[in-house]
Amino acid sequence: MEITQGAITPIPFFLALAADHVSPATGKSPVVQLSKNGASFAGAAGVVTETGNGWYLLTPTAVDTNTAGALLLHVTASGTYDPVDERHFVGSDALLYASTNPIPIFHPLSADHVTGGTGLSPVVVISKNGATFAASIGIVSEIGFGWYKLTPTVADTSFVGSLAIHSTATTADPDDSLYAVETGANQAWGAAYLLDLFNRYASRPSVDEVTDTQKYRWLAEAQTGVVADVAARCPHVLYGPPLPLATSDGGKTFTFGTDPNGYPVFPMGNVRIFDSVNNVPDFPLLEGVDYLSEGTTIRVPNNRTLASTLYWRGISPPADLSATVAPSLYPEPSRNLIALEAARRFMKTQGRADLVADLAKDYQTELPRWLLVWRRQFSNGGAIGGFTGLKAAMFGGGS
Amino acid sequence: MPAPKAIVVEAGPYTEMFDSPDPTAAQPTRACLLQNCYPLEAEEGEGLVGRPGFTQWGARATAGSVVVQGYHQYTKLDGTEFSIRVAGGYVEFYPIVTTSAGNFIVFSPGFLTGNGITLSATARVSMVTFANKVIFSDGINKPWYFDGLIVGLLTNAPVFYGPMTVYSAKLFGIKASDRATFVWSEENDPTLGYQATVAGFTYANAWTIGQTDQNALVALRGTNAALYYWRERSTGAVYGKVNSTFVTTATHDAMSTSVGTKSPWGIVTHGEGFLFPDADGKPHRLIPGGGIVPVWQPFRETLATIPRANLVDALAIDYPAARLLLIGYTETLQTYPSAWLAYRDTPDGFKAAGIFRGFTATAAGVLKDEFTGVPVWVHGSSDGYTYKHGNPDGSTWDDVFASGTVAIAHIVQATPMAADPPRDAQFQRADLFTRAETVQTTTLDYETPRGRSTALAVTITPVGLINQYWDVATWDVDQWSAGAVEVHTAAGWNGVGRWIKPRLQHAVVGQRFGFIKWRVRGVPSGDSPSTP
Repeated sequence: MEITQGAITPIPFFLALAADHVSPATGKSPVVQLSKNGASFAGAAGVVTETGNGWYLLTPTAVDTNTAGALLLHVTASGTYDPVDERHFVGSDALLYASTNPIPIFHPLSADHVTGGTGLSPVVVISKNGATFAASIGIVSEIGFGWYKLTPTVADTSFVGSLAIHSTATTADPDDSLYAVETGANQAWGAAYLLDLFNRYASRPSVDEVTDTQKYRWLAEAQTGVVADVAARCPHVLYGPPLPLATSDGGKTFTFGTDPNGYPVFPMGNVRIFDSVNNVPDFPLLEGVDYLSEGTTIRVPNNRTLASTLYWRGISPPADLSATVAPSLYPEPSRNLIALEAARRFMKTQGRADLVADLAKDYQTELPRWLLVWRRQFSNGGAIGGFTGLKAAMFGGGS
Repeated sequence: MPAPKAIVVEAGPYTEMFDSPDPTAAQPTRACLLQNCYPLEAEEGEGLVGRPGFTQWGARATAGSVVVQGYHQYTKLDGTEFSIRVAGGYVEFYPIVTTSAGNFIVFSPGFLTGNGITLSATARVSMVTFANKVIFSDGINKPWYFDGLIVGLLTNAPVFYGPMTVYSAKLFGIKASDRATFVWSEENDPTLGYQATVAGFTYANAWTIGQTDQNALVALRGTNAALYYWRERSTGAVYGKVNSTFVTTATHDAMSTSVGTKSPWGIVTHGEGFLFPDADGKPHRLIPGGGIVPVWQPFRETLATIPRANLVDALAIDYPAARLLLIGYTETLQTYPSAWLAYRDTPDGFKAAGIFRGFTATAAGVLKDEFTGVPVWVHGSSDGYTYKHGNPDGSTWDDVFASGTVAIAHIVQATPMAADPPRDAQFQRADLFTRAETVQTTTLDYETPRGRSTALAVTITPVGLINQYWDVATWDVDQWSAGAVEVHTAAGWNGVGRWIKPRLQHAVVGQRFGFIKWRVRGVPSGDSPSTP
């Protein structure tokens, strides 16, 4: 279970009779030891009471839960009841991107499947996002009572997704556990990183009445503005692959799909329409001749229809940036524009005209730099160069 | 562009509590509410600390789940000490050592009855040391004494109303059957005097004191200088040697013709003076030679909620370890005193130090700690337990009831800050400066004319102090204290209003509370609409 740091949330555990390992052991006085975030076991300061039916309750003190990370609970076996080994977490049980927090591993002996094996040498392999298991390059060390810890390296957790851990040790049962690796401020230029930047630019403390959800809203709106700035000047950096248009009237009109907010897509950035992917990019349809632009729709002139599938190349509005949706700009450091613009808009509502002016100035300094980076990404200058490969061959030039 | 003029206001360290909601009464050194915390040496700039908690002291009452009726520390002239508890009609003499220890001496109701003594099982019991004896009075039956060896009924004394007192080496009490009259014993002899006839001689040790006010007496208290008496709406003092001409030769001083008390148990001696609640529950200070001074103003709003009918139950205590004086009031829907208004005696007079809550007390007293001999505040419960309050240098920071440990609920609420009648401000940030000797898991919110904000969870973590204690810290793992107790924590706010009242709350077992001051920052927002 997850426990808030410093809280005295009761932790239940079950005591089984050693005779059959399943029947409840009642009327006992188990002594609980705790390991905090990979440290050695020590007696719990909290009180143990019996709930009934073999269940007992440790009511920890604030000292017992004062350390974020894995909280391991161990009750040493007596002659009449089995040992108890449980893993809990103070804070989240998920790992943050690039985390090196110790990950607990438990190896009961194969002989009885309950008693922790000490002095073992576990071998740990990990699987990231379902990939083939490979050796972890972290360090495995013993905590005690059959518990071990894998201290991962940054390389082990520098991804977002699922982390499966499989540990084996001679004479002991294997340990298999699954963790979620989530984005955090450690992932440079990710959503959480931009949130942190926003807080820095807007001078917001980490404990804040303005919630993260509200701040992500500011960032999402700012991203929309930055995308518009980019779409007007260097649209190619936000192009995706050619996408088919949809028609519901037999080819008289075509639309560009629906954006993540459920609105019809308004394509941006020198959009071009093609009647075949084979014609990308040299032979686009001509606006005003082959189709009429109507914002979120194109119409075939003269009430005609087009039977073929049309494709478009341009910019779709990106999904709103949030705690779970990454920002859309590349290269990643250009996302600083989003944080600057979000902080500027926010500070306007705070009546901080001084900081608003500073942030606007920073944005106006950064934007041209990145525009130049985008324009100079490839030697022909990309879309701004204006020459496709065919045209360059026909006319030469392009810069 | 020039920055708008920031609004930066600070409050604290607090020297007192003042519960007025008026922004015009706000001062940076006044808190609107200090619950379960109080200023240390605030005049020296020190901050607030949480009140020490209490632990069970000694065994439960012999009679089990009964009302504790009173406490007294009986010290004989030869130095013998008895810590006395009366509960459920049993009189229990300690030294109290452990929670499981038996009582040292117990006078059962049967034992007392066998000696001709009747003791109520529920009424509050007054005890006073006089003539090397301890005198007991329950206000219903005749008083009696214990001298360390034997008990005896004071057959010549009447039933007393309220607490007894000693003045000029005589035992004084208000006649329960004639509340306009007080009587006294012979010098150093509680068995003689009063209005008794003994061996053909009739004593006239009585005074129906009614020169200007003939209402019933409520309380008597004797000091080295005078015998003070209270009625509901007046207070007086008599000076002079208590002899056969006492009634006619004593000097009479009308301390007040409008301030008295309804709380016979709510008067606490401090120096040569007293702190007591008047007939409306408002605390006053009686200063010998200085008259009666009102000290209730800081608790005006709080006192307005105390039912007058409950004032007769009020208790008062001198809490020596914390150097506080407290008056305990029975709040609405409570049966026993549940809110203790605390005062500090400062060079500038009595200052309201805060309100202590979290427990009810059927009786309260100061007994000597069984190990150190240091006076400690104890209170009794309605289910037979005695609880000993800790001291500020100790380690008890929770209320450990017999039924379990309960966190003490600390609250610090500021008076209105940054008040500007016509203009709103946007409050953007709060900086807290706290005394953090342990982790403090707190909630922080604020109130403006527009309402109360969402509470933020603020964890105050001392640097280098976690696990710094012997037998708790782990060698080579934990870090020893760097010596810093003061911790700065910031929180972002987004509130609008013409003033702001921050509030910090804390109630976690195992954590210790401390607070120094806070600073709020904002910017002017514009003229406030007419509502709110």
